[in-house]
Amino acid sequence: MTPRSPRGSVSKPPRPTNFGNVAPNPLDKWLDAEKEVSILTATSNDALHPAENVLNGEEHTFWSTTGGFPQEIVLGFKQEIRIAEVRTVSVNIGSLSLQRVMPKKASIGLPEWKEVTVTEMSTDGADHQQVESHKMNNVSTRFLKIAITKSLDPFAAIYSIHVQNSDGKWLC
Amino acid sequence: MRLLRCRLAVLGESAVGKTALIQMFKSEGAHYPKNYIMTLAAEFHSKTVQIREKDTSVEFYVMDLSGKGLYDSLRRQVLEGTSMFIVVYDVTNEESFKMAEKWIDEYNAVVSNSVGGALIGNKSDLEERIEVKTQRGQDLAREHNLAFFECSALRGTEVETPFNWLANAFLNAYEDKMKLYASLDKS
Repeated sequence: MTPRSPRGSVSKPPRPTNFGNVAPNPLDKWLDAEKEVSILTATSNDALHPAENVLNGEEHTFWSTTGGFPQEIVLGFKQEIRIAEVRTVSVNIGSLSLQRVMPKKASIGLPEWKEVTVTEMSTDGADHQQVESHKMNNVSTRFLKIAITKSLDPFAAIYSIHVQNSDGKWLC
Repeated sequence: MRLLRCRLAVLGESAVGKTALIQMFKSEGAHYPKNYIMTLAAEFHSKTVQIREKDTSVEFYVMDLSGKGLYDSLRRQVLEGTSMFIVVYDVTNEESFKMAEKWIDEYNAVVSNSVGGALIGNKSDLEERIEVKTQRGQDLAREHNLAFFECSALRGTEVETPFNWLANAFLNAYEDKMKLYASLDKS
């Protein structure tokens, strides 16, 4: 029998807390709560050239890809931000796709990634550092995926990733 | 343990033993396909080679590509994603050796930045029927800067050697690049 409220109307079932707009994104559990920006995951993991190198501020350390493309690295932010610009320093990337997770969606199952911008790198710059600026039009997200979809060499690398929010502050 | 991933194309005329070679490598000598079944378009296999002294595994994604011309357009797409290659010929078949150079040229025309490759003369067990002497294979390989091997997929002799060589060459190329990348400055 359906439970009734004191006023006699049919009570609604409790609102599920595990989905809908209120639920945390499944990526949240990978975030480092202490840091403004953290690395959530990367598709190549050489302990000598780990993904964390892209945030360490060192000029000569990098995250290396270890063969095969596409290769991806995912950054997470402490809170949802609006991204004005992303700058990357890399080598031997052919094409770079920057993607965000659609806000207040995708809280069940896999996150829904949406491409914000694609940068085609110059093909005559093999084995030279590439410094690129990617305009992000103040899109809001808590997660940023940077995918190397084409390369100039069997191995590519990213030295650093810098993210500027819509207030002009560089978060990393 | 470090994991490298290498997409590897295996090319050559029909019936030289590309699939048999891959099957024997993959099964560590346990599985030789007794009946010839022509590969349609392409087949895909994966197998890991350990390089213990460097604490590294090289995971090969082996693209077994049909030798039939019917699949030319598809082959190009598959080749584009690969980093290394093997061209196989049959040591008892002069024609397959003559065509080996065409396969090397086709690969190099599609992939300009490959890490390297190997030329393999298969069916070395059929000694009385050999038409292509070892020296000719070595010369062709040297001309194209490839490693050279002779093997018998049937007997399982020297089947793993080329793949071990390729794994080491891939790792060396990776380590060379890492050294270069660590020395680069903003241009």
